[in-house]
Amino acid sequence: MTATANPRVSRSPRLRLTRALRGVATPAALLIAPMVLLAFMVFWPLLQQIWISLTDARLTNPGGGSFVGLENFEALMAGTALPQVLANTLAYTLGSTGLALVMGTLAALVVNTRFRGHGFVKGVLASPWAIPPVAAASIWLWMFSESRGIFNRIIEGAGGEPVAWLTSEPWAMVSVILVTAWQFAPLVMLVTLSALKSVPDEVAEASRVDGASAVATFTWVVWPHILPTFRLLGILLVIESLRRWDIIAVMTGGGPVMSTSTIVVAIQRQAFQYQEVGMGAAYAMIGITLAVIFALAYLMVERRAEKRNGR
Amino acid sequence: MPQLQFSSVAKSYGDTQVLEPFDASVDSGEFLVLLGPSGCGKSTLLRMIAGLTEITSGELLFDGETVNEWDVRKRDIAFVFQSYALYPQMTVRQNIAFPLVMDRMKPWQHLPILGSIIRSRLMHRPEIAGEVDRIAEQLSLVPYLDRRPGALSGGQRQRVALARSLVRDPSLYLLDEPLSNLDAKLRTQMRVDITALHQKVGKTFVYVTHDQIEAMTMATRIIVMDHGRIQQIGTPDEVYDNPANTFVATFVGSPAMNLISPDIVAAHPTAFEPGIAASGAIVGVRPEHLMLADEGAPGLPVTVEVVERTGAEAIIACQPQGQEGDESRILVRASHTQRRVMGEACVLQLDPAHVSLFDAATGVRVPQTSTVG
Ligand SMILES: Nc1ncnc2c1ncn2[C@@H]1O[C@H](COP(=O)(O)OP(=O)(O)OP(=O)(O)O)[C@@H](O)[C@H]1O
Ligand SMILES: [Mg+2]
Repeated sequence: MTATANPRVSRSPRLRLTRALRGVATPAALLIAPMVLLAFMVFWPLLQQIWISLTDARLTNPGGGSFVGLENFEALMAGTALPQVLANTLAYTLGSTGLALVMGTLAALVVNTRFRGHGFVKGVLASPWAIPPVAAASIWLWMFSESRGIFNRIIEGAGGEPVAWLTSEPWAMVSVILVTAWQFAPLVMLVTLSALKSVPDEVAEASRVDGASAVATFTWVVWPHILPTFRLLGILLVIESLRRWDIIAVMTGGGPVMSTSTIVVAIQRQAFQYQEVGMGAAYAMIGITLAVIFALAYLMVERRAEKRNGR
Repeated sequence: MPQLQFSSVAKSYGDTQVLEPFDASVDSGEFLVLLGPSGCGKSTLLRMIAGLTEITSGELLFDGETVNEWDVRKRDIAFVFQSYALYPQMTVRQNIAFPLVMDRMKPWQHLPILGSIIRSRLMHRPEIAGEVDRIAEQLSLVPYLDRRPGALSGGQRQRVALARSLVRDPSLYLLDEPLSNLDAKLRTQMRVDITALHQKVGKTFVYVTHDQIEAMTMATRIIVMDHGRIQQIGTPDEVYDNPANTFVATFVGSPAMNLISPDIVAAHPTAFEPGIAASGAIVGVRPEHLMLADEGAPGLPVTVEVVERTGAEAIIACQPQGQEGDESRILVRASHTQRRVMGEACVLQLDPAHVSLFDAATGVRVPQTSTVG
């Protein structure tokens, strides 16, 4: 009935079949390639990883361990290292993400006011992003140095006691968080800046007309507008810092006394220093679980926001 | 309720001047309409009054005080944006209540989570909830109060914008084409409502429109603009009866004022008053000040081209004999009882008391001397 109503719909059954096929075939064909790629590059290594975590494989023969069931996990649960590694991971992840979000947003707000030379300032503020993490960590290593570092020079100049930035608790964790956030902040600034620019001028003007101060305009108009971007940045940085290894490795190597050992640092130590690949894989499974929990939390928040927007 | 005064106020963006310097003053409590075609600078002028657009040169005074540097908030205005500018993340209710909530919040209360709690408590206060309900009722927005602007039609959004600005009690109302997207019935109703509000509150209104019915019915004073230049400032009657130039003559009134070129006047000198025929000016007559008489009577010989009946009256388009084209066409507003048919030859008679003369070169109104009584 409806087919005859529209003269452009084909009349012959054969044509109709090809058309129907084309409707399914195109997306299927487009999806096949990435699916195959994903299967080989993500799911297969993941399965392998799960398998290894259930063996006693050693670095000398990574594929050749024998099946030991949940022994690796039991060992982790029994030891005292795991709770500390988890606490370190959370502190490092949330600390550097939070600090980067705050610093990046403040920088974006400043650059967005369009003072003279804001382009130059933007370039300078964005530059840490371009420095390779290991190089960045080395620069900071020098600045944090106990005897010659600039921070201690300043503190001493002000009459204070020098701080062992990288070799005492809790300063070692504070230092790596600071450097990681310093590397993340430019990304936050650039993305937030483009979100800020997408706030319609007239909407911001309307809030001024309605009697909102600059702070109120930010809270009621700008903030809700950039919040989705902000959430996305948050999850990206959380995942990114969960896997960040280079900065900690260069600056503290996980020490002192494991106080900056996050999951990735622990994996590296178990698998390559102690050569216990199976144990390393067990740590990795815990790391993956953490990442999945964060990602699911993000998706839930996002779904709720979408529902509220009536989409 | 300030008295507004413009002294050589002008606006340029870089090298392009979008508003030429002009002087004007608007008394307190007036309903000023800015009327003009698209792109003539109406919104720019309105935004300058609001303090949203910087004044390039000249001074704007509220009650004798220069306000060029005043912040938007200090001006205490209500503003309807042409683009509505609703807050997309707020419900209609929150949008409308926003100005009331802002008035009552202290500076430290604008913290993200705390602020939301304070806002929802404020919105339950009877003086805010009651005001929001009242204005929503008036603008038929009650069914949509809990929706967000994204889920509204254009006309509904415009009503929310109007509601948000009318919910307050400012000292100056600035409205940028607030009714442009409403259907005819609602527009007529809102026209009456806004006029009533103006009479009730007695505040100064500045209202942008390109709809001349709105301008004529609502204004106590009209500023007609074109190409960034003020063409005329006057009451609706002055603008309608004594247009300052040919632009105003043709822009205000529907159908527009007829402009009869000096050539036609010169070719039929007996059809016009002696002074007019000799002046070499463009003759402007409104369609209602023309009469069609049968052939042979004194007047301008014309041929009927089109007869358009609109119910109570008819618009008859005629062409002076020997002429053709849109330029020389003359429209006559006649009673529907006038029986004229296409192609009929008639004679056009002018009401000499209602003739305007415009300089043929500049289009500026020529003051009439003894010719017209
Ligand atoms: N930021 C700007 N830079 C340069 N020119 C501008 C800018 N904003 C507006 N203009 C110009 O100023 C003129 C007046 O614009 P305005 O918005 O005041 O027109 P308007 O009378 O409100 O028109 P409409 O009826 O279509 O809303 C236009 O020609 C426009 O192109
Ligand atoms: Mg406009």
